[in-house]
Amino acid sequence: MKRDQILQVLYDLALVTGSETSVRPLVTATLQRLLYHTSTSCGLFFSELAPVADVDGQGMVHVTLYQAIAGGRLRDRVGETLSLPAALFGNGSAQISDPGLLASLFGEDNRYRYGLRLMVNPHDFIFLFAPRHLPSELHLDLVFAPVIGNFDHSLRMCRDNERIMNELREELETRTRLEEQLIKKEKLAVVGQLTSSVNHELRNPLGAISTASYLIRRKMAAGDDSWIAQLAVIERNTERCNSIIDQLLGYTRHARLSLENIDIGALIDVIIKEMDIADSIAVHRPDGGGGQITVEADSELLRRALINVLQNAVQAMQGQRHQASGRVSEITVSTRLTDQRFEIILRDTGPGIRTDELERIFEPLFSTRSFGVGLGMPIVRNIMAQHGGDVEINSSDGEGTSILLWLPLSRIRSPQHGD
Amino acid sequence: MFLQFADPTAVEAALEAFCTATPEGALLALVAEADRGNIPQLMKSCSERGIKLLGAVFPELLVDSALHKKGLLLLPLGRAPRHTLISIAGGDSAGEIAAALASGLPIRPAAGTHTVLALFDGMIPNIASIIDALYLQWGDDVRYIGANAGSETFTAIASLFDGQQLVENGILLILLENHRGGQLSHNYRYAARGAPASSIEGNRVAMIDWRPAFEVYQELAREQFGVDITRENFYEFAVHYPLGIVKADGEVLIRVPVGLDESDGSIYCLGEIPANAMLTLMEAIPAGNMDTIESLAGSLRQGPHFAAYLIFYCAGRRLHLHDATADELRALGEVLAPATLVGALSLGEIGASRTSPYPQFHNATIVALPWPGR
Repeated sequence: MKRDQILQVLYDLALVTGSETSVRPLVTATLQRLLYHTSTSCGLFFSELAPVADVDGQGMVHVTLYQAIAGGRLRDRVGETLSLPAALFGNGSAQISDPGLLASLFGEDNRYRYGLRLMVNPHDFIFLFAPRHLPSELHLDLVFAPVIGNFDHSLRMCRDNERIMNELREELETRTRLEEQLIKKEKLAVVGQLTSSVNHELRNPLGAISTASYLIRRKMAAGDDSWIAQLAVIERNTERCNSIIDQLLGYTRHARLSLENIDIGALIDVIIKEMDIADSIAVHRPDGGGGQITVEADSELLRRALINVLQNAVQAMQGQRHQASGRVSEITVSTRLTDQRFEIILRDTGPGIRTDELERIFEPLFSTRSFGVGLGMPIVRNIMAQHGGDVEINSSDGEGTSILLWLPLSRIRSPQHGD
Repeated sequence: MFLQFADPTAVEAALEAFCTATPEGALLALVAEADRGNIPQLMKSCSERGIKLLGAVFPELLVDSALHKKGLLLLPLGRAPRHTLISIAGGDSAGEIAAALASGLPIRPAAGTHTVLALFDGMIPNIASIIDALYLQWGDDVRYIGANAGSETFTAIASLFDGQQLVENGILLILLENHRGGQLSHNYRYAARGAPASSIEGNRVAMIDWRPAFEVYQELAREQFGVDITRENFYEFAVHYPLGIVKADGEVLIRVPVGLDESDGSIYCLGEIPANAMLTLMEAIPAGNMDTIESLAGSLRQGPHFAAYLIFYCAGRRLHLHDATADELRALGEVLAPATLVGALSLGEIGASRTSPYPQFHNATIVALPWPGR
């Protein structure tokens, strides 16, 4: 073989050993290329050779058969640790033609008369076998010495790579498992909280309905016609039950938006009127009335969000009424169009929200009231998020609350931006 | 036996005679490309007689040292040889294809006492990789020999069949039990300087030595042989100066250039080239040189005498040798006399060479396979 040819072969083998990132493909591709180049027909790769000190009394040593191409029945033992003559794994690379050594590997199935041992490092060995002597003019062990050096380097890199990948995989699996456990725990907690809350909320009106029914039956039996008043109790509490169910559905169901152009000022005015807010609470509309800003939104959802926020303000004021604080109960609802967004701002002069409560206000099922499912503000946030906006709250204990609902400019239909 | 479809009575009579002489026998049918329209009728006729049929379409058939553009060769295969025939779907890797083939033809370790006759559709782009992957499955438990079927115009045709199906992009493997395999040889000469194929995709060599492949190919031809290969004379000259892939054991695999992409200088070869292979320019065997015949005969004479040989003669070699092909075939007939030679013009060959038992995909070779029975 000429020098030029040797360089060509070395180039080919160097590129093969340098282009793999995992051990098995590297070993397989290298064995394939060596078989391709050398007129041999069987390639073996042994790893994890036990130290010389572990050679037993019969001169045998333990080693793992990592890969075998051809080799008859030996191929079925890939992955096994074999006990083989230590003489097979001598120092350096060498030719093997001792029939005893060949038989120790292949047994009665032996079809090879010639072998070439290429020592990769003291623990890893490549063997090539052929049924007859190789015709090459050169000592292949010497020719391949630089390639085997490269292979050793690649092998170490692939092993490091696999170790790192395994560690990362294990870490990822652990993290995923912990996350799943956490989610499961949170789900169970939410279900428990929901059950408790719904239980509490529904039992009150249902108890009232049950009592009213009992009174009706007794009064009717006694010929007392005042039972009709109890019907109003039943109707009011049935309505409350429906409202609780509506809230639950509103939070869990993400309906597709049914978009339409809404005069936002007019919508606010209608809601305030319909809510029939007590006279003790003054409601202000500084930018007054409709006909100013039109947004594209789901009118039913936006209406629900505004009602939830207004109801919270009114309920906060009603609580304040009994405190004889001397403060005036006022709600101010205004709108503002900025360069970035459209805002609806509701300010009340209520008692404000404590910092620890403020941190949990968007948490489902969190409520500070003895009644209430605790889904009002989470529903408001969901609705605003569905429209591409959000809700922001500014409040401090005793200082009133300001709730800002905003929509992106893309939702504004009139006036056009820049008008 | 060599027959003409133009004489259907003779074909039917031959099948009838075979069926009578060898009940439940099997036939290997080699069909000339021009006559492939007759395959469905052949399948029907064999089915009616209970004959197991396996076959392939080749550009031309070889009978007694002469090539024929029309006709049918029927070769006895003994009783019910095991086989597998698959059609490759796009996207399957070489490993997946080899696994499918191996599961269709389970082979027990038998230390090379059997031979797999491998017939591939020549249009399959990764035949060399599939052979490598097959060796991972079977190793040297069998010997491998074969050729690529199809059209010499390199257009897709259904080229492989058995008694039930005629498929495109097919691979047909037939297990020849107690068969010691065949030999192949090319004897093209290695020329000096090589260059790395730096960009390869299957059989397309885009870059050699990090320059457009055709530019380097022209340079090598000029330096080594004083030949000016241009875009105009490429198809006339390239077949005489094929590319070679150098191996450490001194053997060189031939890849005959069969196409040129003038837009980017890519060269298309007859057969896959391994990524990063070192390519060298080869000098095709001169007309009248009988080294290949002597090399083949030398190997074949070492075994027992056979009454017939199945021969695959590379179409690329014929393109190079032209009329001298007949001389080479005649010489082969003489050295193997009194054996009968039958076979086909092939689009690439498969097998171990005289020096290497590892099966490879070749171009420009002559394959000779002892065939039991006439």
